[in-house]
Amino acid sequence: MRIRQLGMALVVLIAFLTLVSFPVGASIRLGGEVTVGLEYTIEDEDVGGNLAVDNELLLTVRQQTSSAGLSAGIKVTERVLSLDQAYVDFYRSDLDLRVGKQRIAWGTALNVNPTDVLNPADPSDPLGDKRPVWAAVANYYLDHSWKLTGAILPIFEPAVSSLPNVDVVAPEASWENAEYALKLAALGLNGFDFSVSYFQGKEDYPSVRSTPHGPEGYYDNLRVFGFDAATVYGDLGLWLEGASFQPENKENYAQWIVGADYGLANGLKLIGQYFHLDTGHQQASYLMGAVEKDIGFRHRGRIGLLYNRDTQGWAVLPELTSSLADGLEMAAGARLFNEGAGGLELALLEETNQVYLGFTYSF
Amino acid sequence: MQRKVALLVIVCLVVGWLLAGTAWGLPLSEGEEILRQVDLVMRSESKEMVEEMTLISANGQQRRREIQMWNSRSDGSDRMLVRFLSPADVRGTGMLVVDDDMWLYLPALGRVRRIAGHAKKGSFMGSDLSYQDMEQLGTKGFSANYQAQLMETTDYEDRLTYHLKLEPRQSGEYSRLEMWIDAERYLPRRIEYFDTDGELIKVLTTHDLTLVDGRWLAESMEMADQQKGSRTVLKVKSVQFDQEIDASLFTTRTLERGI
Repeated sequence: MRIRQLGMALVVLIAFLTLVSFPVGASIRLGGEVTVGLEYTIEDEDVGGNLAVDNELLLTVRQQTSSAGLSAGIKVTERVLSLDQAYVDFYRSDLDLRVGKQRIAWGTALNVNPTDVLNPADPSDPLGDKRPVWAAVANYYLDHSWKLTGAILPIFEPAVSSLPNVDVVAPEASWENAEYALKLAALGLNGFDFSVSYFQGKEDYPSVRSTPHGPEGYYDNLRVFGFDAATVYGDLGLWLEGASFQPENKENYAQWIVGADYGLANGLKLIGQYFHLDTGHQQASYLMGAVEKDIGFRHRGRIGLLYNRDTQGWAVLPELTSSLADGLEMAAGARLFNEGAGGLELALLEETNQVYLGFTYSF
Repeated sequence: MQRKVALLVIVCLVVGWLLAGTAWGLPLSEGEEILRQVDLVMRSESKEMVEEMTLISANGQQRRREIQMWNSRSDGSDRMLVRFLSPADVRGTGMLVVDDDMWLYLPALGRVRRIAGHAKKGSFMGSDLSYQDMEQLGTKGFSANYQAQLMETTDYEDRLTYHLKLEPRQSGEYSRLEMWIDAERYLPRRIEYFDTDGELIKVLTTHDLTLVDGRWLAESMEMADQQKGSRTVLKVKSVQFDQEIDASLFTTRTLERGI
C-alpha cells in the first residue's frame, strides 16, 4: 500500500503547490451535475418488472491559467462518496504534463476502442464510460501535428476484481507492477490523423491457473501494440483502429474496428462500425449501426443497433434526448435485446430489456 | 462584301470581349467591385470575439449560449477555433477548423475527434447558421465563392443600399444569394439564401452597426429559417480585429487542454 499512499501524498502536494502558485485573481470555476434516473427492467413479460432509481451528484472545481491547471471532482452515488477525476496540469512550451486521477482516452472509433487500454471498463456497461486511474501523462509536441505521449500508471486498477468460487490474487502495489504506455500521434497530416501505441501492464480481467492449493485467479502480464487512423473522403468520415494483445501466459489475440459516418442533406446522420473482439477466451464480430437526427435545437433522436455476427444476437437502442432548459437535459430510451438466439455476448453486458428516463442538470 | 466581313469580325470581337469579362483581367463589374468592398470591410486577418447566441424555436422557446471564437487567415490557410463558455452542459466543448479539416472536443469524451466534411454543411452548434455561413461572415468573405451582379440601388431602413444577386461559382449549399448592402459602410443589411430548388430558406438581417477599431461591424445579427420558423440571434459582446494570434492556438493541443 506504500506506493498508493506515496502517490496520493505526492498528488496532494503538487495540487497544493499548483494552487498557491496561481496568480491572484485566477478564477476558480465551480460546477457539477445532478443526474436522476429511472430504470424499468422488464424481467418477465407476464409478471412485470423492476423499477430502480439511480441518482448521482458530481461536484467539480477547476482553475486554469496559461501555465497550469487544477481540476478535481467528487462523485456521490447512492450515498457513497468517491473521488472522480482529480489532477493537476503543467503547460510548458512543448510539453503538457497531467498528474493525478484521470481518464486517458485513446482511439478514433466510437464507443469501442481496442487501443483504449489505460482505464478499466465497467464490465456491466462495456460501451459506457471508463473509470479514471491514477497516472502521470506527458504529452510532448514535436510540432503542430506530431505528438509523443508517455504515461505511467503506478497503481493497477482491474476491471474485475473477483471471480465466483476462485480467489483472485491482486498484484502488489509496487513499481514492478506499474503500467507504462507510449503513443506517437499525428493530427491533420495531409488530411489524416493516425497514431501507433504501446502498452505494458496487466490484463483487466483475471485469468485462472492451477496451483497445488487449487485454482487461483491472477492478472496476466500484457503488452498491447495499437494503431488508429481517421480521415475524411468527401462527406464521408472514415476510421480504423486495432490492437494486438500479447499476454505472457496465453495465446496472443487481436481486436480491430472499422467505421464510417455520413450526413444526408436532410440532417440525418448515418453511423456504421464493424468490429472484431477477441479477449483470448472468447471472440466475436459485431456490426454496430446508428441513425441520428437533430430535431430543432432541443431534441435529438437516435436509434442504435448492435448485432453479433456469430450468434445472430442483437439489440436495439432507441433514445430521445431533449433540452428542457439551459443546462437541463432529459434522456428517454430503451435497451431491447432479442430472445432465442445466442445473445450479444458483449463483455458482461446484462441482456435484459429496459426502458429508462433520466434528467441531468448541469451547473 | 468586305464591309460585311469586317463588321462581323468587329461584332465577334466585341461579343468575345464582353463574354470574356473579368476572367481575362478586364475591370470588375460594378457588382463584383461592391462585393469586394464588402469582403474588405467584413474580412480580417485575425479576429477574437465573444458572442451570445440565442436560439429561438418556431414556438418561441429559447436557449442561450456564449461562445468565444478566434479566426485567422494566413499563409493561404483559414483557421477557426470555437469554445463554449456557457451554459454548463456544453461548457468546455471546443471545435477547431483548419481549411477542410475539423475536430471536435467534448469534455465528456476527453479526446479530440476528427469530424466528417458533411458536418461543415450542417448547423453551426445547433443554430440556423451553417459552418460555411459562419466562415463567410467571419474571415472568408463572399467573393471567393460567388460572382455578383448589381440589380438596383434602393432604400433599406432609410439608407441607400446596393441590391446584389450572388451566384455560386461552383454548385454548393445555395443556388443564389440576394444581398442588400449599406452603400456608405459596405456592410450587408439583409441576405436572402435560396436552396438548390430556388426556394428562399434563410434570411439574415444585421442590426446595431457600429465603428470598432476603424471598421464597421454589425453588433447584432439574426438568421431566420423561413421553412422551420426558427431564428438565431448573434450578439457581439467583445471583439478584437487584426491582433496577432499565435498559430499554435489553432491546434488540437488547445482543444485537448480543455481550453
